[in-house]
Amino acid sequence: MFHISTLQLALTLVASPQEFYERMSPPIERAATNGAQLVVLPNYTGLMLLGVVVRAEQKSLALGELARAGNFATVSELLCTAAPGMRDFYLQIFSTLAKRARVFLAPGTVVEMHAGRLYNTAYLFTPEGSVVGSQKQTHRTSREIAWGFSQGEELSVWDIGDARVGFVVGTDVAHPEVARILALQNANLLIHPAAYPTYHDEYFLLDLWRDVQGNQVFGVQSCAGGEFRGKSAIYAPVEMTRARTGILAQATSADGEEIIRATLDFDALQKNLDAYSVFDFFNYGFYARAFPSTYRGRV
Amino acid sequence: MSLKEFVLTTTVQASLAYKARGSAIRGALAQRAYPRASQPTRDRVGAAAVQMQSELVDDGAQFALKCYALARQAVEGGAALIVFPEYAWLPLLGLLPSARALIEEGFTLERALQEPATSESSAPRILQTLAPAIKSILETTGRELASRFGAYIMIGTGIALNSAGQMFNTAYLFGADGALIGTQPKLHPTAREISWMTPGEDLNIFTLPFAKLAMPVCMDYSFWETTRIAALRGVDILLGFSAEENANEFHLAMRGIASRVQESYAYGIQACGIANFAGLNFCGPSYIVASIGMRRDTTTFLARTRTHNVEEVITAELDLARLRDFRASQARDANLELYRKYLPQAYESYRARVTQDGKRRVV
Repeated sequence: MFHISTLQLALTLVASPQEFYERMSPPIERAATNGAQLVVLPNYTGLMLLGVVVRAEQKSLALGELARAGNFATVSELLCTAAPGMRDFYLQIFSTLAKRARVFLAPGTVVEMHAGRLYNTAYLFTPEGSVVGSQKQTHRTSREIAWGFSQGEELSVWDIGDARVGFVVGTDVAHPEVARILALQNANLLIHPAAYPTYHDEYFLLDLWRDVQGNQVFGVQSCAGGEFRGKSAIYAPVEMTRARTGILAQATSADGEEIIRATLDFDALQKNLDAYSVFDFFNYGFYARAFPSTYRGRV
Repeated sequence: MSLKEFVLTTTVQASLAYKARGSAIRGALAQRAYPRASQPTRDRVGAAAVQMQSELVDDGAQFALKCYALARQAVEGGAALIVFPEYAWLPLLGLLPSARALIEEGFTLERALQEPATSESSAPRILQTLAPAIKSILETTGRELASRFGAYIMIGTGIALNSAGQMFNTAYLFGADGALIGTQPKLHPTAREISWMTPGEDLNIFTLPFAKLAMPVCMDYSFWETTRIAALRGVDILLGFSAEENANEFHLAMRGIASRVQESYAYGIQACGIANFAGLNFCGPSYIVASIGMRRDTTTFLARTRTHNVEEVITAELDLARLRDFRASQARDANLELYRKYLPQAYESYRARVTQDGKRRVV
């Protein structure tokens, strides 16, 4: 059994690393106290640290306004300038929090520079505070393209106890290639740090629920609240949930702060696959023939 | 083949050919009235999903008249694009001698299809025998109804045979002039089909005057690969059709075309078959869906049948101009480097691992 918690948090700018620490520490520790072995936070958590770099009155993550307040010509310029500092604080603070809470921690994403390019990157820490790995977001929204983000070109999975995890970062969830590639690499738990602009009852058709069903794995989605919307959730294949919804646990509101938890039974997941594995019905020949030419010709 | 089997097969084939004869179908349909379908434009088309109840029929004409009644409802509801369900051919089991008696005695199709095709009387061999009659009846019915109503009709799936005797679960699309536009064999067989059905090799895209269409079959929608390839090939409308026992479980059903239209930025039409015989319990509901965000309201459903187990026809207008605007506003960020690196190689690595382990292992 593997106990996980996902935190639905309102993202606001913080004025100091100390404030960031004080903001993140209580819910992570509460989740750990409740037995979580893995704690997941939303997309863009690291952006909260922009307030440390650019001293501004505003609390919201409106990056355009923040760039203007800091006299940066563009958001991209602001992010390039702030990225190294934000990343340092992010790594230091979340390493400390993982260690303090003794949990695997997936603390959302941070903007980082790598080889002169900006990426939105999710990190995963061990209960000892070291980095298990990081995953650059591989697809971007139009807003993220305007901010100057580049695309990651690798997808990795890591073993953490019974879980073999891979990240579906932000808008990667709109691209089913990502979850499939992770599942083909044997991921059994997809972690989705999210920050959706909107939410309604059928939104599960657009979010990680779809990937979980299509790949028959577990999924944990952490949604940003505040100016963002979304219901954080822990998903499983429909057949494995009592109400046959594919939802093991879900936030009650689309904008409030909540801690959602569930226990994942990987043996039960294996039994579910032994009974029926959708991957048994792949049409390998079709994919091999169609994908290279179709992607080359049409994208 | 023994002499007895030869005589039996020849007799059955002759009987089936007689019951499937095109002249009888055309004659029966010629006596009906045909309102003309409203003509689709580049900006809009009326679409219908036919939730069809399977009941055994005695011959092709009876089948065609049933399809006529449903197609007429669709046309009168404003549809020019009409979608029938997967396994639309099931009523044609009634053409087989003693079929009704066998079914009354508890014959189940699923069990029968798992039998090895060792004798002429095994179920897979009987389907091979029935296949030409199914093809002929579906083609004649589809052609006649499409041309007489002036509508585009996907008449459902039948069993197609190739020269090697392999069977395919194949959909047939007819143009408003009655011409067969094309066919689509199912690409991903289900567990109950895998013993007798050969999967198709490619996904066809049909360029009509008003839109591009694809018609993956049922289980094909469980695989985003199918509709991603359709979307990249420019498809506007996904014709879907199913014959499933769990289609009335909302979240199970949502794993199919309703999920796929979200990734594809396309309309989807899902027509479900209803069957309650020969061990089958297929049901609906059927629906017509659009990508969430394409319209002002926040639902994916444009239309849904009221019931899951009663024959119904639903229609909706597909606003193709709005679809184009929506796509333009939702520019996709493809990642060719990533796809090149992993697709299709990741499937091959997975296949090698599963071959070695004997099954997919996640623990």
